[in-house]
Amino acid sequence: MDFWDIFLSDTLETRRGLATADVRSALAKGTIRPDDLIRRSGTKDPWAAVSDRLPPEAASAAAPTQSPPAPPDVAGRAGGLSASDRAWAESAYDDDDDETPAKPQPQEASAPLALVDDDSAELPVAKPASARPAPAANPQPAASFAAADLPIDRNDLHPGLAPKAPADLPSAEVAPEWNADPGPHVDDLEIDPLDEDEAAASFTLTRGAADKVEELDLAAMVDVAFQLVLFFLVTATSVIFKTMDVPKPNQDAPAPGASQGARSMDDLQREYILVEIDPAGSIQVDHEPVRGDYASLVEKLRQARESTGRKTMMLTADYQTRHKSTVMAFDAAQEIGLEISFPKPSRDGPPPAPAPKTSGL
Amino acid sequence: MTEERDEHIDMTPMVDVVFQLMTFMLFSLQITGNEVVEVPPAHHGVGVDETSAVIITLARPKTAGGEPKILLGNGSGPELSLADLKAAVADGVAHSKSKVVLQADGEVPHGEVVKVIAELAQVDGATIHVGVRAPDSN
Repeated sequence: MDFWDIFLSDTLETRRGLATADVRSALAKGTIRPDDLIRRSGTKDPWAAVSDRLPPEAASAAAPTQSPPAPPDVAGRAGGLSASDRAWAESAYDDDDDETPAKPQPQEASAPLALVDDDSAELPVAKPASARPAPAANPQPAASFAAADLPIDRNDLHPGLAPKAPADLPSAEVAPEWNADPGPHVDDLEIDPLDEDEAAASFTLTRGAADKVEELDLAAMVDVAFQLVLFFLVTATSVIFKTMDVPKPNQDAPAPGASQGARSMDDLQREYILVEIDPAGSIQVDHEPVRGDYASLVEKLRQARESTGRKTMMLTADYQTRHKSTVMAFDAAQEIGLEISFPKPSRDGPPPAPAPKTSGL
Repeated sequence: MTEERDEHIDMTPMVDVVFQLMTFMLFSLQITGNEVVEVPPAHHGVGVDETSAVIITLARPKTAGGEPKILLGNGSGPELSLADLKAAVADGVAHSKSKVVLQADGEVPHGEVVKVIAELAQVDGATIHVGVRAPDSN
């Protein structure tokens, strides 16, 4: 009784010590797929596809009208294939092209060959239209399916079919083991050792991985993402200056105070909130000194506005007043929404009473 | 049986971390111009994009009460006279740079600042903005 180890390619498990009959029944049920890997228990044989390695069951086990092309009985022999097996294997290889099989055999395997040759040949029995046909022990060449026009993806048909022509198979690397122990049938002159090796070599381990979903290589995508990020960083980022809008100052040149005397300070004070800043930084609002910090100034301006309803601040600063003091006054005015007006101070002497122009924001 | 599965590095966490870093960097960017002069602080300010403005720097005068240097550009341009500055601003307006950002040091005399403002305000279409920085506290 032969015992087998089965490697399931979908769950990546190994089942050991299964009898041949168990394997076949599992195949029939669909637990074991024809492309799972199999080897004899307790040996270090290379793994081979179940459909190719398992000894064929009796022809009567399947539907009698089926012409059973004997699957290649590689299992019994460490060496090559029988002539009929080889013919069958080759007929399977011829699957993908429409040429006639190279060696039609006048043996019991001739019937399936005839099927390969002729698309209109009658099918023995309608095959199940599933991607995993249960009677894998009686594999039919896929060409016969084409005749029946079954909606089967050819690539999913595994009953003993190798999807590639023999020339495509990596034969040389796996072959040595077969060559080392050719077995009793090597004397059969009809057997071409190279073909045997190729047939055996086709059963590589990687066949089990064929059904894995390909993983997407993310490295390229990440590179592109970095490129985009860098591009947008460089092009989108630009220096932004924090600024404060200022109105244009009074354009009129300061005239002698006499001609401007029409507007006295009192007049101005009726219309504007007068803010005066001296070079030392001390601030006066409406001639009343205020602490020179932001919060006090804001409060004072707010009071001035609420008490008198004036909406504009007139900022009068000495020429030498520091810029930051005037900016603070501007800031305070903007805090409470006052409009700002400021004259152009004269370098020489105190600024005359300016001709007030509302040049607010 | 091959052990291919162990060699695949899952890139998703790495990409997530990169995005986190990028987001952090984006938000940590300060909206302040790179001042070469010490502009005064202000609470209220609006951002002006560098590409749409002509920058003029008023550097701190060497002596208190002295003349400040007026530079075209953010602290690194040529020192120009007021007339040249005006021409530069007019040129900028012609090239759709209608804003003028005045980066004046806090110690510059107010009169000097107003002088520059008055001069530049004569250019049609130019709006004057005084450069400030974010207040330190409060």
